[in-house]
Amino acid sequence: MTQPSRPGDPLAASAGGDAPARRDRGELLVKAAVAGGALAGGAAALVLLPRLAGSAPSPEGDVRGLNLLLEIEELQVAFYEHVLATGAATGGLLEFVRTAAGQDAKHVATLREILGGDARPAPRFDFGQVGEPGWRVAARIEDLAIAAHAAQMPGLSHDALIQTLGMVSVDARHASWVRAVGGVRAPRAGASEGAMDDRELREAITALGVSVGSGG
Amino acid sequence: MSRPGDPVGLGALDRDGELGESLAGLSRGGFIAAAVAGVGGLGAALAAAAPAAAATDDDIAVLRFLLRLKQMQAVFYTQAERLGAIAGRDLEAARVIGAAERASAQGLARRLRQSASSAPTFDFQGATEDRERFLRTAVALEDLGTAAIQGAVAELQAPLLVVAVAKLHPPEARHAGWMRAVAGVNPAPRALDAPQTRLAVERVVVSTGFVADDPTTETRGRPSFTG
Repeated sequence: MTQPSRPGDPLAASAGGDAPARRDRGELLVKAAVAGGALAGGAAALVLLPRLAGSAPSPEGDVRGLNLLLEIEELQVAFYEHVLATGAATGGLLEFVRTAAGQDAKHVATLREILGGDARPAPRFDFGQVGEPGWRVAARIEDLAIAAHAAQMPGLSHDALIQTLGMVSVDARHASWVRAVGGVRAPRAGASEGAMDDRELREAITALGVSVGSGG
Repeated sequence: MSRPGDPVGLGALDRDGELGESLAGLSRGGFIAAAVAGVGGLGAALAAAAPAAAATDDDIAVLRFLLRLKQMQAVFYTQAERLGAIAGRDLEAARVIGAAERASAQGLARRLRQSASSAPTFDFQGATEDRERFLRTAVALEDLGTAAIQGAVAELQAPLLVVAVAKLHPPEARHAGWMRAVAGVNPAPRALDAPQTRLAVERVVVSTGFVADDPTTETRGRPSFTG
């Protein structure tokens, strides 16, 4: 697994120079990616792994966690592509979907770049049972992505966490944006974010009417 | 509508070394051990951090920095609500987001054992008295908060503090997206949000003039504890 360079990143120097522990974890991340190769593939598109809350970060943990986040971001992209294909979105919702689709595609590309050969094949999503693919479903999917990120935070290495914060931040912006499009009067309350592990995510996605098949 | 130079920074807020005085009785290890279930997301998050995780001096400096940011945001929204210049959806946003910022500030102040009397004072120079300026400033403050928290995660060293602060990031970004939507500007201007360092944020704060007194960062004393 490799980490994309970030020229001009103001934190690039400060994040590593004074923290040998963090740099060691980052080095392990890269070495494990080179030596370990891809995790064993599975029929289920979603990574059905036991919750690792409280587990110390590890290169293997980063691979698992980042692959889960990759799949959630791929879900978002697939959903927005589905919405565009239906032609049902107009006005503000259409503007949102077009923007979010492109930005979430960037998240997918970034995660795949980080994971390298450890990235799992993209799953196949079927939205046939979702019903109206409007702002409510979009908001729910963005919320699920945020919850997935929140659940993975304790298990990711410092470097991996730093890499993913810029993505969940935009997912959170999307969640507010699409609610505003839907006419919600006030922002979501609360100063903290709930988390969902992979099992909870799978259940929530199924409850939306989304079918997930293996890809690759 | 938003101006990148608007947002505020935090290092200028530690006037007269008040923060240093308030931390004088706080040992490095005691910072985490003293945590109790508190109000607000940050307070609760810190309370959940295992007592065994000691904060470094740098960690405490980062948390103080975040406290000042939260205090500034909290006061901004509180003033805007009270002055009556905003209404409808703007006011509802100020109420909801302001409540979240107040809760975070209170929780963090409690964890840092900082009294209300040592909180900075702010002069938003009319930004809370005019709808357009309120929206512009709110957008800038939330964008800055999002970038500042992201930067703080990178700077923090104690692993459990890293996670506790990281969990504050999505709600802050929700606020940023919401205020941008209310202001009629693109809620998500970039595919990937970028962090800002404390120095960068502090420079922005100084540029706004929102801090009521002149910054005296050079007077910030070294905490009497050494850990």
